[in-house]
Amino acid sequence: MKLTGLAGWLWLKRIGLAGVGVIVVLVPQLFSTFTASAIGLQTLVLGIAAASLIFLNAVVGMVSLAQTALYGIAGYTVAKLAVEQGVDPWVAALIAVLITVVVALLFGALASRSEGIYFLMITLASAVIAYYFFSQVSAFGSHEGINGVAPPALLGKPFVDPTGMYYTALICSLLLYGLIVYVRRTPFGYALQGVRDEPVRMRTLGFNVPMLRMAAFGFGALIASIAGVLLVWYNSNVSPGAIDLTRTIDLLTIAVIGGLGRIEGAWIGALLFTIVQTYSPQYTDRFETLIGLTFLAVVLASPGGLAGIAIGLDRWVRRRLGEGLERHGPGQGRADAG
Amino acid sequence: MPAEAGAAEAAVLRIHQLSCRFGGLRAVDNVDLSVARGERRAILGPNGAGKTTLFNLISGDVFPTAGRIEVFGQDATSTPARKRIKLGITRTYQTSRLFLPLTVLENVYLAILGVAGGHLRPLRLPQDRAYREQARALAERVGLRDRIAVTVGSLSHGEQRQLEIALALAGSPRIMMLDEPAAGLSPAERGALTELLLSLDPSVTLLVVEHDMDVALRVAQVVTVMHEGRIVAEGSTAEIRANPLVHDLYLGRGYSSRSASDARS
Repeated sequence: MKLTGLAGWLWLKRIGLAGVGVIVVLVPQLFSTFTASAIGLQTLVLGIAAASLIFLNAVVGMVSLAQTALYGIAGYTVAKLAVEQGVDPWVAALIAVLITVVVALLFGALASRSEGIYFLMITLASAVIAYYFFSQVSAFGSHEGINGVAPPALLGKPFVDPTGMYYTALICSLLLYGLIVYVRRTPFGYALQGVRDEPVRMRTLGFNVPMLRMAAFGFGALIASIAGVLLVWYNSNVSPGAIDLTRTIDLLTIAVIGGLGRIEGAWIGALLFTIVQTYSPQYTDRFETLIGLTFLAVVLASPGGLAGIAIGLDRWVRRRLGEGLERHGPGQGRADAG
Repeated sequence: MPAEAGAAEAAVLRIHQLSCRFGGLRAVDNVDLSVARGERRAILGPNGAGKTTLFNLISGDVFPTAGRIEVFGQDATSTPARKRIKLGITRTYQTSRLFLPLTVLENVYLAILGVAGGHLRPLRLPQDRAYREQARALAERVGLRDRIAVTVGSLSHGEQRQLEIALALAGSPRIMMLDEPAAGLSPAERGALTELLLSLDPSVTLLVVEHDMDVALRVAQVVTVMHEGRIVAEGSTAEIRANPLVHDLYLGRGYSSRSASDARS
């Protein structure tokens, strides 16, 4: 009857996850407008942006610092179309996503031939170029950016009542998470994982490695562009400050805190980051030091970030409880290993 | 003339004066080679003889500095590596190049997908199930039936070598190149490997680099011996067994140009 320990843990986990699910769904009802907006909504939007970075790293092995530049392109496009051309926000969003993906594919065609640190440097350069482009070109409002971007009427006014906006971001998060998990198990997803592990072997197996990297970068841009659109709707404006180097590093920090190897880590990292960012000014004006220390603590505890810690803990408990199980039936233990 | 045309037709792989230099080093130096359909050829030679570089040139992992490679009569000298599998060329690597975080089944599935195409398809379709069934059959063929769902990183060295061969078997190859398939295997595993290689479709051409003479000489009918980037001897297994030059090379007595010319004549 040692099984009860393991079964109990599995139930506890299920109840815990269900509880988290209920809280996430009921954030606008359970928390104040400020919390729902500054913590809940911000976590979801930053989580999507970080998910694009984690997808590229975990599935294809590409560390990109261009994700903020990409969501900036989407954000500026949606703002310019909505404010200056009076385009319907949903149509503007669709165009913004398409333009961002096209730009990413063009950029990917050039950058995908380099690997590792060189790829990272090219994406960093592109992030800096995008920042200076948007902060210098007057058509995009220079330093002021573009203000007064109204989200679709359906979403209401995020600062007055974030409910509609929150659920939009939640649905986007869930759909994109599901999409990434699904794509991993398709030919495209397996090919990308092959490129991550053994590009030389992939080439002799008949795969076009640069083209796969380029397509992956485009897919990452699709995710990042949705974060960009949501961010602009949420802030009702876009400015160079939203895509500067600090934001680029913030995004990388979120991804590492959450766990560069797990897609879930994006939203976990975003939540911790947002909480520290929102509440630390009450106690200290050294936000950067605090987030830096948080970063160090998490990385020292587990290279897999918070998601890695959670998985490690789960494995540890299961192994402790599973010891009895293996004595009773070794077949079960083997099946688990497989 | 007709006889020569017939010989050209029979040769699936023809190499003309192929050279590959890395700076001052001539890794492969003016090599001529003609391999017939269904031939089993072992390539022997001490470390640094240029055997792996020759494989890299044929698979397209490295491009030659001079010379020509013809596959089934077509010039393939500058064909990119990813297109050579469509010519029917597959290979294994001396140090395993496997997808360690993926399972055995997923590794073989990738090899099948490589030939099948549709690499950018972000959808799961019924044919993927068929690919998986093919992958399962190939994994069973190389003796990994019980390890199909295991992550490759946790396989033993011998099992990883078996999987290397499964990847090269995917997509009905016509020319297979195995780079030291027996390296690091136990005697029992070597026996199983030899049986597997002997059971291959007789129309498949096989090139094997191997230091284990028992495996190499049982599988091969023809042997090519390389030394310092050149081919120094070529013949049937019996001829090579009797060749004093080969003994010299493997026993480390060094080699003189006189004995090399003797061996060629």
